[in-house]
Amino acid sequence: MGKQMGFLLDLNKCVGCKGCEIACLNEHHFDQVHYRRVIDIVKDKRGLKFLSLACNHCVNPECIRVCPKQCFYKRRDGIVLHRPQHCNGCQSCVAACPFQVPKVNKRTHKVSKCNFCVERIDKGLAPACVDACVVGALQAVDLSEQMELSGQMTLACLPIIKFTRPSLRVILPKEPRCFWRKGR
Amino acid sequence: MPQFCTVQELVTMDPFAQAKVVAGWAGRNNKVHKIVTACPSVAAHALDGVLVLVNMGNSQGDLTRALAAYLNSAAAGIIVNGYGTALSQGLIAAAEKSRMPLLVFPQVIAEQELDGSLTLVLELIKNRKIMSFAEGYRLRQLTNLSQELPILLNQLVEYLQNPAVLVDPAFQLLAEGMTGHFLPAEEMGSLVKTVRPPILKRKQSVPIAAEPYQQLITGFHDQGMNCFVTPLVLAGQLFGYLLVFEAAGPLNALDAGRIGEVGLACLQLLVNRKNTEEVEKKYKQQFLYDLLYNNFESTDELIKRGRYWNWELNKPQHLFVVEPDDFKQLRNKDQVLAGLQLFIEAFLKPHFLQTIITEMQDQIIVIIPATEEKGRSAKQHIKNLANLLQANLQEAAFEATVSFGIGKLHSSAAELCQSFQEAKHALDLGRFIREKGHVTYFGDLGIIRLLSHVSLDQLDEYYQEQLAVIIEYDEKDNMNFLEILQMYFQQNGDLNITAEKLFMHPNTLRYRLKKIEELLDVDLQKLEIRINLSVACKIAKMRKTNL
Repeated sequence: MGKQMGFLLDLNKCVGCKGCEIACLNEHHFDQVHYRRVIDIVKDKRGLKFLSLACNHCVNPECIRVCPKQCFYKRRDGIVLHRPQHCNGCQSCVAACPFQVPKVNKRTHKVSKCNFCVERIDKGLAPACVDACVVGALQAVDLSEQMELSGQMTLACLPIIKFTRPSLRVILPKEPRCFWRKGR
Repeated sequence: MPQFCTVQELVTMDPFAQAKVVAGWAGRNNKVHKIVTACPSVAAHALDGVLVLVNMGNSQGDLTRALAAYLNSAAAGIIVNGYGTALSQGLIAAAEKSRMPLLVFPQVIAEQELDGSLTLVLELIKNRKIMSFAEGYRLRQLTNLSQELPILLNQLVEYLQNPAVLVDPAFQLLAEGMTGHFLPAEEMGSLVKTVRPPILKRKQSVPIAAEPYQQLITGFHDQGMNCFVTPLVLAGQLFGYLLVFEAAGPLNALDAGRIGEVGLACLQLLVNRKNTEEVEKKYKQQFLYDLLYNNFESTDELIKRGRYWNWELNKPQHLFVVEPDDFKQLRNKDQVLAGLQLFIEAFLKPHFLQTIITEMQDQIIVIIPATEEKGRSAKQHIKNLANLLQANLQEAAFEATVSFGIGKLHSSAAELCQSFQEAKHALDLGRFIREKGHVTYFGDLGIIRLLSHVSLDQLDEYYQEQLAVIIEYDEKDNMNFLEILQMYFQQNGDLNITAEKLFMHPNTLRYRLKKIEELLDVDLQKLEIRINLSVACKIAKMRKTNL
C-alpha cells in the first residue's frame, strides 16, 4: 500500500539531449502529445540548466480533486491515470495542475496525460523516457523505499510542493570547479 | 498421624484425572487420607478425611438416598463409580452448598486401583514431587481447553472458584468467566480499574516478562485483596493480562499452574485473533485506498465492496483528515498516531453507527455519514464536531497538538476522492494561515488556494516587491514591522485587539503603523492597498512556513 512510483532526476548527469522527450513521443505517438518536456532554466552558478518534466504522479493530485467526472484515479503503486471514457474535455485539470501536465488531445478533444508507461511497468520494464536516457539522469524509483541518493523535493521554478507532494526528486548539480593549468 | 492429600491433588493422578467433577469444587482443599466404600454400616459421623466411593448397581432411588446421607457428613468428597446419566439438580445443589466435591466415573473403576492411586499421591506429596508430576497432568489438560475465550475463562473460574478476567494492554475487557457468582458486574469493573495503576506502574519500572506475579490491591471496600496477574507476552509484545482475584478464597500452587496453562491458551487465541485482524486490516486498507483515490470501475462496485464491512456508502459522507503538528519532529511517531486513532475511535463510535477511521500516509482519515442537513448547516455541523474533538484532545492532554482539514460534502461516494483531496489541502494550506491545532474547512481557505498554484519565484518576487522596505528596516533596526502588519491584517484591522495580541499600547501601535505607511509610502485605509499588502503578508508567512 505504501508504494509510490516516481522519477529521480540527477541534474549532474542531464545534458539536455531531449532523448526522454523523443522516446515519450515515440511511445505515445497515437496521442500526438508531448507528455514529457525538457525545459531550459538557467538559474544560478551551479549550472542548473535543463529540467525534464512529465506528470509527477503527486501524492495529493489536483487533477483528482477538480475533475467533475472523476476521470482520474491513482493505482495502488501510486501512478495517477486518466480514464478517457467519461472525459468531456472541460479542461479543469489542465488549469488546476500546478505543473501543466494534462494536455488536450487535438484528435479526440479529450484530455490525456503521462501514464508512467504502465503497460511497460506491468511487464517489468522501465518507462520509455527512463529507458532512453543514455546518461542515466532519469530513473523510475519507488519513493516509499529508502534511496541511496536523496533528492531535493522542490525547485524554485515549481509551485509550492507542500500540498500536492509531487513524486519527483531532483539531485541538484554540484558546484562547478575550475582547474587552471599552472603557468610555465 | 496419617498422611493427607487434598482432593485437588488427588485428581492430578489417573484414574481420578478421568473423573468428571460434577459439583462442590469449592471444597477441593478438603483433606483425604483414605477411600471407603459406601455401605449402611459406615456411620456418617466417622467419615472425617475419607473419600466415599459409591458403587452403582443399586436403583436410582437408593443412590439418591445414599448420596443425600453422605452429603451431610464430614466426608472429604464423594465418588460415584460407573454412573452414566446426569445427577439430579437437588443433589448438585446440595453438594455445592456443603462444598463437597462430587466426582463421577462413567465406567466402573476397581477399588484397588483407586487405593493404589491415593497411596501414590500421598507418596509424591511426602517426597515433594506432586507439583512436577502435576505438570504432566496439566499438559494433558491443555489439549482439552476450549478455543473460545469466554468458555476458557468460565472453565478457569469453575476450577479456581474465584473470579477471573482477561483484559487487553489498555485494560479494556476482552472476556470474563462467570464472575457474577463472586462479585457484581459493576464491582468487577471497579476492581479492574483499581488494579490498573499498580500494574502499569510496574510495567514502566520492570521490563515486560511473561512471569506471573501477585499484586495486592488496597482500598477496595476498605480492605486488601490479592490479584494474580499473568502478563500475556509473546516475543516482547504484550497482548493483555489474565487477572484472577482472590475474592472467594486463596489460590494454591496447583491453581497457579492452571492459571499459567489457561494464560498460554488465551495468549494463543489472542495472537491468532491479532493475525486475523492484520489480514482483515490489510484488505480494508486496500479498499480504503481505492475509495480515496477513485481506483475502482463503478460506483455500484464500490458500494457492494463497502458492504463487506457494513459500510453504507450509497449515502453522502463527511470526510476529515487529522494530523499531529510538527509530525516529522516527533520521536515516537507510530505510538502518537496509534494513540490518536484510538482516541478518535473512542470519541466517535458512541455517536455514529458507521465510522471509518484509518491511518494513511501518517494521517488519520475519518469518514462519517452526513446528517440530513445540507449546505451551510452541514458545514457547520462537521466543523462543530471537529472543534469538539479538538477540545476533547486538548482536555485529555494528548501528547501532541493536532490539526484538522475538512473536505466539502459531496453527494456520492464516488466523489469521496475529491473530498479527501480537499481535506488534505485544507490541512496543509491551513498551516500557512492559522496557528498550530487549527480546524480548517476547505471552503474557508480563500486566496491561499490560488496562491498555492503560483511558482515560488513569482511568489517571492511579489512579496519582496511589496514588503522589501519594511523587511530591510526590520533587519537593520531590529524591529518587528512585518509581524505588526501581519497581525494587523489577521485581526481585521482592529487596533485594540492587535495591540493586545502584540503586547503593546494602542498608541504605540498607531505610531508604528504610521511609520509603516511612511516607509511603504502607502495609505493603509485604501482597500486596494490593504488587499495587496494582506496578500503579500500571507505569502511571506507561507514562504516562512514552507522553507
